[in-house]
Amino acid sequence: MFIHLENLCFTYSLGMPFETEVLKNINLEINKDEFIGLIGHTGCGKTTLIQHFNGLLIPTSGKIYVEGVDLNKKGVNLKLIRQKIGLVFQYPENQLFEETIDQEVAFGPRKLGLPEVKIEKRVREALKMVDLDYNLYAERSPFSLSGGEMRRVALASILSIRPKMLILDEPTANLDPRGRDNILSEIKKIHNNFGMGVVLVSHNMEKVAETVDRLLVMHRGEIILDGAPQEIFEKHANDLVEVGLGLPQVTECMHKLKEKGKDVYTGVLTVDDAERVILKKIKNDKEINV
Amino acid sequence: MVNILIKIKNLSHVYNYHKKDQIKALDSINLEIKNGDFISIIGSNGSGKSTLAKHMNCLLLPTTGDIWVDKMNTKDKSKTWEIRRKVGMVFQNPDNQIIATTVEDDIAFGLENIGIKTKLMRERVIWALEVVEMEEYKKSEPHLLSGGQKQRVAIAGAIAMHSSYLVLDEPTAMLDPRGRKEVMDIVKKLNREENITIIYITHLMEEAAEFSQVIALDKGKIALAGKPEEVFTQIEVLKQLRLDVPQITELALRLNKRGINISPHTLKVEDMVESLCLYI
Repeated sequence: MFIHLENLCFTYSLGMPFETEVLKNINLEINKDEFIGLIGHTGCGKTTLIQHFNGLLIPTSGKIYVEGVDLNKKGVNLKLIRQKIGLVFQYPENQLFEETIDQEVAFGPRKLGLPEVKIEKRVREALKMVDLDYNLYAERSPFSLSGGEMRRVALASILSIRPKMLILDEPTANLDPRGRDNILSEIKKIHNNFGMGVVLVSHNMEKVAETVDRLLVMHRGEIILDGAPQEIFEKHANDLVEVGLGLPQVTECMHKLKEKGKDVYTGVLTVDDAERVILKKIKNDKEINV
Repeated sequence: MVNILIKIKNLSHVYNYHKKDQIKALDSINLEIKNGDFISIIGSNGSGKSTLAKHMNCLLLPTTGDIWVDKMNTKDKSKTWEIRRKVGMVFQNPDNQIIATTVEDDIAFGLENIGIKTKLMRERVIWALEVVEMEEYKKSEPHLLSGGQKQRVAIAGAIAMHSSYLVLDEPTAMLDPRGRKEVMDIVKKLNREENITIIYITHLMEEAAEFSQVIALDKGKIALAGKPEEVFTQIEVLKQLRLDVPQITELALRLNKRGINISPHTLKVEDMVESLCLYI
């Protein structure tokens, strides 16, 4: 297992008047090749949790291990951990600062002390991963790009470090529907083609649920649900609504049908799923009547 | 111009007009907004939504064409402040528009600037807070509020000026589902109970579907306009415009094509459930 959390707790401003307990007793295991969605209401502790994954925050109590290394231990090489776990913050385009896209993406590998030949290779590779053409983009200023493109460059600057796992905090916030779909499909491609583990943090249920293999739902500093999206939508729809997350329209539709006594499968995530379930149900009913 | 309160005629806007890299953000827009309208504007990034919104209270002036608010042309500099008082604005990021240290001071800020008497100011602040259902937070510090609450404070600040129009530019983009619902509920109430004309920009088609009219912009032009059930059934056009289609409408259209008698104009989950119950 890649990341392992044991009874992890975190409190902001410990011992101060505004002391706030943000994470409560979190136990979690993440494998290297997983594709995980971490969802929850604003303020539930999502961002605080992922900042523990690469040692940006140190737990108030409890343990966190990355590839078996205890991050609390004195003398741990956090630099090495941060190469293994690439963290892409919210609105990463705000972090762009170099004059050209080439320099921007090269910044990480250069800080690692790689020779120039290797750096260029990594820049080309990272830009390709986010579907930006090196020849067209390398010499342009990152500030001349659209919002969606800037975000892809920011993502490429993390990918050029070649992390084993990629953690993204609200990667689709403020993008229009096309920009959002592009980023999500690129992340999915990176996961599939390069075997990189991914943790996607979001409060946009709909799109995340249809993209990931495993869903973690947080509420008030705890992980309250953990499982395949279909399973969570089928069995725990009420919990999702209760913690203020809402359901995709098609899932809500299936649950309402079920409430009316119709025997339909409720673990649907997409319009495709819903169409299939409804057509099958209609067909079955017809056969019974005949 | 009976009852037409915002009239937009051949409005075009070009950024960097005097420079080399001109960008035409709006291209001959014609639009009439009536008293009490409840309109949402959709469109992908760069389609001109925000540029259009900023013309409604003189934050931007037309490169060519005209826009009148209650018969006042926005180019008439003597009317700028009168127009801004009438057309309230709420932006995407609540943290950028809240300036005072308590909620009530923040709402009073605009009123103070136009020299309203203290007693009247108190009344207006309390009224605005009641409308957005935030009266119990009047002494709170804004940074301790949730995103949805902050946006409601921003709305209160705008309506305290007794604006007749409220332009909201993606007010829920940074909010979670609960915050989004809070803001939508208040916006509906403002339109219904206070008769404030609403112009609401959003990326979320589920939100846009709740308005009485939807306008879709593309490359600075109006690409689609009409009632939600007319606009959202044009799935192919919407996809070309880089927009989402509400899941329920897409499902209704697909089932309809399969010969199942469900109206392709279905926008609400409840209606879909009702229609389906006749079948299964």
